[in-house]
Amino acid sequence: MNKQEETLKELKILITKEVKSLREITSIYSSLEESGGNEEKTMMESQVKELKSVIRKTMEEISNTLEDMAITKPLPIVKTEYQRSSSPEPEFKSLYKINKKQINDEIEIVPKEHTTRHKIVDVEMTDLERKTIKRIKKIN
Amino acid sequence: MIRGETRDFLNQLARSLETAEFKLEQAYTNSDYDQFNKIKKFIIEIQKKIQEGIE
Repeated sequence: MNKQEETLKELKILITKEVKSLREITSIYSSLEESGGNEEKTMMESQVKELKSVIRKTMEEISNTLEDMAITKPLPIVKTEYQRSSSPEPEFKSLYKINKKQINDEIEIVPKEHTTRHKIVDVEMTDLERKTIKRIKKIN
Repeated sequence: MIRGETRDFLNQLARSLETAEFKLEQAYTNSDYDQFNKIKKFIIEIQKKIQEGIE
């Protein structure tokens, strides 16, 4: 018997205990309706109190046991391309084996077309820029 | 709650709890994960109701 089975067995015992206590309490409630004596009523009421505390305790134990219990769903088996194909090994082409000629044959390089033209905009130079250009000219 | 009503309510909860226990075991045996978790939640709900009933 594994741990889960033991926990399940324990839970069954606890639930049976709780059901028994609940049935007892309900039968006492029925007797209380029929009985007339005060002493009898007091006795029954104290019994009900005791049973309630037993039920509360059992409830706590049940919730603890339920927390321990969990059967996990196994992950779904997803077949990969490799598993689906009948070939024993996936085909890999080593990059080193492909020579330059092959690459040139396979890949056609198309030059990019210039779609946008950059406008040359006249921008006024600042004093500092003018001075810098003058200095450069002198040096040259 | 009137005592008679409480009695009937608790009786009903006891029956539900018994049924749930039986179904939980069945779900465990059949490895029915979804059903197992559903019943587990149901038992927790019953526990809450019992708590209300005995207050």
